[in-house]
Amino acid sequence: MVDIQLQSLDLNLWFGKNHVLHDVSLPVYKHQVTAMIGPSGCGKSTLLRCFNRMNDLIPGTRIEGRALLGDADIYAPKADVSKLRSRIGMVFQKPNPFPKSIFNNVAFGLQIQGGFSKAEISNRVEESLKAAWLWEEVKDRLSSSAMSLSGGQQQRLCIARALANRPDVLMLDEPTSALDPQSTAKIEELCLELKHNVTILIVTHNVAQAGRISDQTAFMYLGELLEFGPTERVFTVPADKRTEAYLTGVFG
Amino acid sequence: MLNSKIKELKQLLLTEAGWVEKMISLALDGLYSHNNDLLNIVIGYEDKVNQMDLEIENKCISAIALYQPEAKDLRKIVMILKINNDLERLGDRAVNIAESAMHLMGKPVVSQVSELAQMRDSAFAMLKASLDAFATENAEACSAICEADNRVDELNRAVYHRLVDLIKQDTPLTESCLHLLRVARNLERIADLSTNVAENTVYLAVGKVIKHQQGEEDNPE
Amino acid sequence: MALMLVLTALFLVLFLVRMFSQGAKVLSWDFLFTAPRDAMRAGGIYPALVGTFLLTALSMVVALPLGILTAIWLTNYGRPVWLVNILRVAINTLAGTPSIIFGLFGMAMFSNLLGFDISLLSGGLTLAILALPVIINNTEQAIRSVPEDFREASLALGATTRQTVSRVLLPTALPSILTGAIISIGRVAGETAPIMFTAATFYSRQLPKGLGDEVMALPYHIYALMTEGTHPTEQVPIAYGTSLVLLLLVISISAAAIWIRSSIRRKRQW
Repeated sequence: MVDIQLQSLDLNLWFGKNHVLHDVSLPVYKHQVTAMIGPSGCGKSTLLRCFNRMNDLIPGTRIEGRALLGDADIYAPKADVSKLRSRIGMVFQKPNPFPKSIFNNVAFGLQIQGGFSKAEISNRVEESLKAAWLWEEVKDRLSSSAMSLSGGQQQRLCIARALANRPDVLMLDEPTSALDPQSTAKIEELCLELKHNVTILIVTHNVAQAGRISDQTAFMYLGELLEFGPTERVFTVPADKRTEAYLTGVFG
Repeated sequence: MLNSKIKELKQLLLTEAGWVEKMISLALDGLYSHNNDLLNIVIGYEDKVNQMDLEIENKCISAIALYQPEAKDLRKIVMILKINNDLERLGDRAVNIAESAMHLMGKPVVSQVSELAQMRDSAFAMLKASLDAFATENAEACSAICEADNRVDELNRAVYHRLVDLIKQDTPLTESCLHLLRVARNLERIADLSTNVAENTVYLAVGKVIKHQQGEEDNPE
Repeated sequence: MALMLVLTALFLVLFLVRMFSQGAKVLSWDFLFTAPRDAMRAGGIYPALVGTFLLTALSMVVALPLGILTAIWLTNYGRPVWLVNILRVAINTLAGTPSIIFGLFGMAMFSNLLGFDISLLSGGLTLAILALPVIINNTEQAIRSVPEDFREASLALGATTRQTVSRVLLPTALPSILTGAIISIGRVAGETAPIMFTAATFYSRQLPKGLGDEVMALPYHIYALMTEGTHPTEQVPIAYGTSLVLLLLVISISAAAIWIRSSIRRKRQW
């Protein structure tokens, strides 16, 4: 029986009058890769941003239902949002390293938390860059600008930056859609390696990618979670006709 | 990812092939040495082979669904699926031979059909050769196997005539002859299936289709 | 199109040539570093230089922090919305107000109401208010031009808004903010009307010793020489000379700002 690391329970979300998420109950299992697929605009990125409360930044957002990290209620009135966001890391579609040095990018999370010695930060930076398979390529130029890296390297840097916080969950929002095939392949393999230590939740509009790397697949359509199950089953014998239609390319 | 899956599938298939080879070997030994134990072992293997058949089939389908293999990878997976099917049927043939052998126990022995022994040797040699060729993905070995099939067919015709003559003589050997006919048919099928495996191996290795070209030399373009 | 360009260039050239030809003959080391003598018929403009410098410095000390913090509030906090709207109206009004009105306001508010009299303090504060809308708008634009990606990334890593502003947004926007600050220095240094009633004096014997003292200033000096001067033959050239100094000052400040801005643009990697 695998633990549930992250979940939403009957989650509903409105942007103003728009009812964008309908009663979404999604479990994310520990140390597994869960993929969210579905046509554009189905709400998968929105759901992702519910988990780390990035939707709070958009005015006019209303939430009903619950989201839990472990046993903790993410939307509790007194919840520490900063702490939540350090426990749930996020990597965006377009790589967005800060215009700082490679070292300072990865160390950022620790610097804002405070209380780490220089040596601790240094170790954590090395550990994170190694985990993101970037260490060998940058170890001799940690003080050079992050912007001098290629797209694929920048994205791995963003992964390292998120990992530096030692999060419980790493969420990736279409992380490879702006990258070339080789960088994409590298990051997919990286996810398979990372899942042993960090639970992974990935949004992708590339169905084949979900097939390649995920253990569980969630299919979303028009703000609803239509199907959820082991990837192998969903891809061979989907339970919902609409899932089958999407997988066979009828729409989306 | 895909590579390790394909390796796994091939490993499973080779395991199944090993069992099937053993089954046929034991069945043939049991037939000629009239050893009941061997025959029971053969039947014991059948369950394992059937389970493995299902497992490999499911895994192949999953691999295609999840990884969208192309080119050599695609050929490999589809051929593994097909050879898997052939192996399962080979297993069935082994069981048939074992059953015939059991029926032959205690019945009068037919000794005038030397071609049957030759068929047995040829068919078994073809089986081994085709499974080895698959294991090493060796396309060159396959043409010899396809030729050998022709000889087995000739031997089969000879055995058939021999046995039919014996049956026409209406001796107490008739029942044994009928069982031996069945054995011969199964041996011929084993040779055919081995040829299938060889043809599928050629497609897997080099992408050339050589089946349904009986009697033609296998010439590269 | 080309004709317009030529006309503009011609105008500029004529202007500069006139300035140089009339003013250059007065320039000297003496001119810059000694005080006026003989009822402004000779000597230099040193006190005016000092006065301009002090006024500008004081106005920046007040306007920069105020302006930058306001811009930060507008871009990152900005609630409640009605307050933001009021602020915007205020800023835009200030930005469009003629400088003479600033002068009157300064006189009424600082010199009279608050009792600072004609002094460095009054003048500096008045100039600060003049510079404020420019600084706010420039800083706001600088912060807004920082890609939203950075802000999102920072927040997603667990930073508070304050940390995001201080560790990511401000450092990234700093060069642009600096450019804006330098430009407003140039602007403030050349203003006459705001300081006319609040700080400037035609002649002061000594350099200002404190915030309460009146000061001489370059732009006012030009005005005063041309309108109240009693010996035009000597004083007009001095006025031109002062103009030239002021012009060169403003030009070099603008040049510095442009140079900084283009080197930012070259180095920018996002």
